[in-house]
Amino acid sequence: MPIPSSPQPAVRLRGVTKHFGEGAARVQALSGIDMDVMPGELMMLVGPSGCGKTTLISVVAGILDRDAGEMALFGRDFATMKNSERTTFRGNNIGFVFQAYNLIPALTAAQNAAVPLMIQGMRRTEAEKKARVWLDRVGFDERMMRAHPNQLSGGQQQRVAIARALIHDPRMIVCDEPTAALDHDTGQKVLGLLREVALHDGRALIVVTHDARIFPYADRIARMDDGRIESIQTQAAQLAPVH
Amino acid sequence: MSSLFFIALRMLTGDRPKFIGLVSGLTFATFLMAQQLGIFSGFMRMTGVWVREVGADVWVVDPETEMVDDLKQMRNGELQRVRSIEGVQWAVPMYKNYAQARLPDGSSYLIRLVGLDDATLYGGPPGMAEGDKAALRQDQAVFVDGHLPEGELLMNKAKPPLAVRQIGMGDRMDINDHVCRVMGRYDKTREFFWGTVVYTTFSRAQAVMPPTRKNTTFILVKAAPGTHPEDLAERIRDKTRLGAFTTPQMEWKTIVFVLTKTGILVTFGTTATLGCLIGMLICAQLFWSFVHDNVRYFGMMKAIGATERMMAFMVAAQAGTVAFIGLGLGLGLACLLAMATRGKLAFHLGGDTVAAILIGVFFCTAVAGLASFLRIRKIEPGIVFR
Repeated sequence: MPIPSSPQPAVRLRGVTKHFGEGAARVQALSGIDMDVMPGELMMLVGPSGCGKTTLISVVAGILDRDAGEMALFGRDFATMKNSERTTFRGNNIGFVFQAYNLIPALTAAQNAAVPLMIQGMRRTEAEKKARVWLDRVGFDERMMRAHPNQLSGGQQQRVAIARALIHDPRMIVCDEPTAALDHDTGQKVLGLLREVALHDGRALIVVTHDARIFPYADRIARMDDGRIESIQTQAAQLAPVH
Repeated sequence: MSSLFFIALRMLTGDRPKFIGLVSGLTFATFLMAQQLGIFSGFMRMTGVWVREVGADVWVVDPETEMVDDLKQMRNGELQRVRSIEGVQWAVPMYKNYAQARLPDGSSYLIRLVGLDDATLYGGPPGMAEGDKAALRQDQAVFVDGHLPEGELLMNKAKPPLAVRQIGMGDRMDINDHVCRVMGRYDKTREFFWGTVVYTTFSRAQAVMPPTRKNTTFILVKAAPGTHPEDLAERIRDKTRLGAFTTPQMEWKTIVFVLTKTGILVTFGTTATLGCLIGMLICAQLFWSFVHDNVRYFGMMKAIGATERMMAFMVAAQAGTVAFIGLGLGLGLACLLAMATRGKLAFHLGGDTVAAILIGVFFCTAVAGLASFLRIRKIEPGIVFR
């Protein structure tokens, strides 16, 4: 899939480093990361456990501060923002899809999907109305929209999480192991759905995954090891077969 | 913010068992505070009940008198001195002292004999259960409590063929070997001090008690129109060197005496304080536990754009809701207890007690809420990636 040409990458990282702990317990989680993610591109971060994938998306999403290097998200640097400004910027520009879904058990599917809009101050009824439109797009019927997370399957919960990530029209989606808790077919469907509904309007997607079966959905794959990006391959160069 | 309030409320009530546990804990905590403070307050009010029911504008007493049941006598002539003071509309004497009462079966009891002004009978019982107040002026007349505590003024305990009963209308009662007769049974509120109060007239009280130079316990004063009782009490103190106090001052003096000179304050105060502390700890612990259980969702909300102000609002909404429900249920239970034990237990839930409980419950939920908010504030949004 061609990468849309754009004068400015959605994410630009140069020489980004991050460590945890001190002394003997010091762990260098990121060591000089250079990476661009373009608008309209689905970038996958792959690599073994502990290689720094989650740390990298945490830094990209402004959840963790980097130690050194340069980073720009749509031309803005989190390091120059106050805490509240950073939170608001994140809320307006980034959508999240988590491995454990993180749906609030007490809310219905529609209410869960509406949470980002409610955080932005939209009235509940209006937010839920918009959530129903998005849930409809990810294949939910009225009965499922009224269901609570414990009444939904893993795949259905992840679809709610996708609707929640997209409802406020963010410019970037960050997904952390979105298929880890799903079976093969459901995982494929979720990724297909994510590509279908999320990659519009120049939205960038970063997907952290171990799951080689979903590699074909990527535009590019960054392979990480030991806090470094070992290689960045385009789809044509990928080796993993489609199941 | 109304949408956030909705989310906060749903998070709070969504897990029914936890929510019920939280509300039950706060209800119990409130009930514990209400029960302890209510009994404490009830005891304190009981100490001053007789003063309130007599209700004189100013009480004149011996300067050494420490409280209303500290029975120190003044010379009878003090009454004329008090009556001569500007601002006194009228003043009447009252006698009060401990005496031995012997019942017809020979049993004897320690009583508190109160002698009321012969002419006015001012300061007498607030109501009559049986008989007429004016009957006190009859020869040998005394009034006894219409609702005597169990075992008090009981006759025929050691005389099996005769029915065991409490003294009643028409019965003879010898006070210091002077024959008296029960001509009325009065109504009154239970008071803290023990020993049945037996009313008679001032002159009869003097006749039955051993003669001394000093025979007036209280001078009850009515302030003239336009005279403030506090000003009058001060004037009486200045002019006579006697003790003079308004009814609230006398009541407070009595409460302070009981609090400081007996173990009541230490024992009840400790219990009440412990009750409050336990209550506070219960609700703080429960609320903390609730937030801890939901830490992942708070982290998720932080990650997707909820600011610290929003988090604080949500925690405040949750704490406030739980406090409000727990407070209502706890106070309701305390009121039920008060109704069920009316007349048997010194329990008083006044505005000040309710205010103290309200402050206590909101304080502890505020502390718990603040601690929880600080916990939420420390949550790394990255927790959602784990």
